[in-house]
Amino acid sequence: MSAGRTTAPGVAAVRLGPVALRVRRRAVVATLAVLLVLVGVLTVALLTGALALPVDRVLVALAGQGSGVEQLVVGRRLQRAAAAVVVGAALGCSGALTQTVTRNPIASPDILGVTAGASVFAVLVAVRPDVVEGALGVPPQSVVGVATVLGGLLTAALLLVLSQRGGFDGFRLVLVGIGVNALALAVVSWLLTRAELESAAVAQRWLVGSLEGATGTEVASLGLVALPGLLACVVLADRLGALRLGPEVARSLGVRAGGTQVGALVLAVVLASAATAVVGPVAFVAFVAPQIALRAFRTAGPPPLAGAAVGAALLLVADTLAQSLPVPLPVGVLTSLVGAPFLLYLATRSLRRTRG
Amino acid sequence: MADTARLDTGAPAAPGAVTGELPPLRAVGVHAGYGDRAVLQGVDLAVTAGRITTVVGPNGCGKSTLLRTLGRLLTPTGGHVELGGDRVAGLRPRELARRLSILPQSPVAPDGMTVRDLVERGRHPHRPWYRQWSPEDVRIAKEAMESTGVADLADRALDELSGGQRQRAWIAMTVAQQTDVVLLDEPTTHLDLAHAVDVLDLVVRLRAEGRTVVTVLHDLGLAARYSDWVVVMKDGRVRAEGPPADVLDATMLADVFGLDAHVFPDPYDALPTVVPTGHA
Repeated sequence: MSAGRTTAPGVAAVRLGPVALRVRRRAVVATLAVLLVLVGVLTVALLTGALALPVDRVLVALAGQGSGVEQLVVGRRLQRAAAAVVVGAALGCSGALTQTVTRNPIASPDILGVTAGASVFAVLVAVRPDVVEGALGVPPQSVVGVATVLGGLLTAALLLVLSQRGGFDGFRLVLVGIGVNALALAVVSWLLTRAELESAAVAQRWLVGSLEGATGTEVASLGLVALPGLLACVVLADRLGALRLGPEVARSLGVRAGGTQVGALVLAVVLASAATAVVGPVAFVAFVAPQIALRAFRTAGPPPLAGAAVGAALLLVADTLAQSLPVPLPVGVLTSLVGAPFLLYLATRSLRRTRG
Repeated sequence: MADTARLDTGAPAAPGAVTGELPPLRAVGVHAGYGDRAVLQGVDLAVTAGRITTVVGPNGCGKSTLLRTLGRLLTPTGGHVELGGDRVAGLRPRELARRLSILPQSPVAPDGMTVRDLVERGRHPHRPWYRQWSPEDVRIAKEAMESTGVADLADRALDELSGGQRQRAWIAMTVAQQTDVVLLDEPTTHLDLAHAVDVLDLVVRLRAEGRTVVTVLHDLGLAARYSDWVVVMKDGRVRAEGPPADVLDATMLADVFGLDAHVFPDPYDALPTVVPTGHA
């Protein structure tokens, strides 16, 4: 490894055999800051909770010793924190991808209706387990994940068909997405009114987005989806960078723009729906995380990997905060409280720009 | 850049002479359009190497469509486009991008992107995805910025620049792409006259470097001064083509543009000058 000459202030050029990278000081500092937040909040999350445990007992339990209760409590905390990190990363990465493909900061999977479309299928399984059992002959719980991802993909396909008129257009996709989102939410509401009271209550709680019910198996399988997804982003990074200049310029630079856009969109949908399958539609994380990453890492366009890192930190912070309130809230309520004003801020800013 | 420098580069005389060499870019019976709307109705055009060819015509005549079809941003519904004898439809995207660059009309870069970032993107077709840079890429991008006069702006964000500076940065990107053929779709749109002339002086420089340039221009006066060959389009067809002095005359302007104008040789350099008479 040899450090090459710096080509711009604050940039180091690094070569490792055939691989040549640019490392920006800003990105290094931002990565360290995000890691610091992650480790700090993870510590808080492990040490605090409904049941007060002294620090030394937590450490003992983490080492695999201590009483059964201690191990159970700390195990639950660890699992919940892991769920926040993996789900946050998947959502943050997903949002950066959709925002890049559409070149629109407002286009995240929750605003495009992908998350809502995924929810339709999840709620369908939750409120009509008899239908699922009758049609497939398997216990409903075992298909929630697959059904949710399928719902997300179907929604994305619908979005693409409806917004594809003589070429892919990011702005049209956003408009169609807002319509599809409304439609999907209406279907969810309709399903809830037709449901038994008890299952409707379960589905309703899931719909807010909560890390409460995430099991270890679910988190691990989401990790198995998210990890290759993040690796794919590394391979895609160069092409996505060209795509940020617009699909036509990207094609002029030798990028298969259409294929890259559809590939990135499918990846984003799988990540967002898989995350939704585990914790429900946690609002605004996919939307806000890439925008924070964009500013913190000072990149030209929302960065998928940095978006994942910020998403992980963001959801962990939000959940730890939501749990520490006098009345613990589902994390989705908190992310909405933070995300909605940010959406308004971005919307008014972009309005001003198009007018000015 | 003085006007005389432009004349010194000396456009080769008598375009259209049969040289026996393949034209760098050729449209053969090209039909193209958007959805059901047919725009190009059978265009035949052979672009001559090392010249500035400018496509002019009234709004909606298909000049941008022709340029986009030549650059494979649009697939023809009939006919085909050849790049140095190879059909562009059969070329791999990267190979096409190493031989031809096309700058669309009014491109937009993301907020905060610097001139250097943009220009280095021009190296995209020359490198694999895992190599973000090489000393050669850095050198070529630097030279591109120097020859387009944006080297001093390298670390400035594009959104902070004036329209003319920004357009020169985009052209620097296509220069860094190092293609023999460069297509520019209305490179002077939204620029005031001084900046438009700046950009067109740059186009002359591209020619001096031996590149073949095809551009679309709205301003007939500028087209007359800066082109070796003018292609006049109307209703999706080529109406006339030739050196500006031969093609641009009052009859053609009335016929194609519905414009009453005087056309006379500039007393200083004898290039055709277009002055609309209007209803004054």
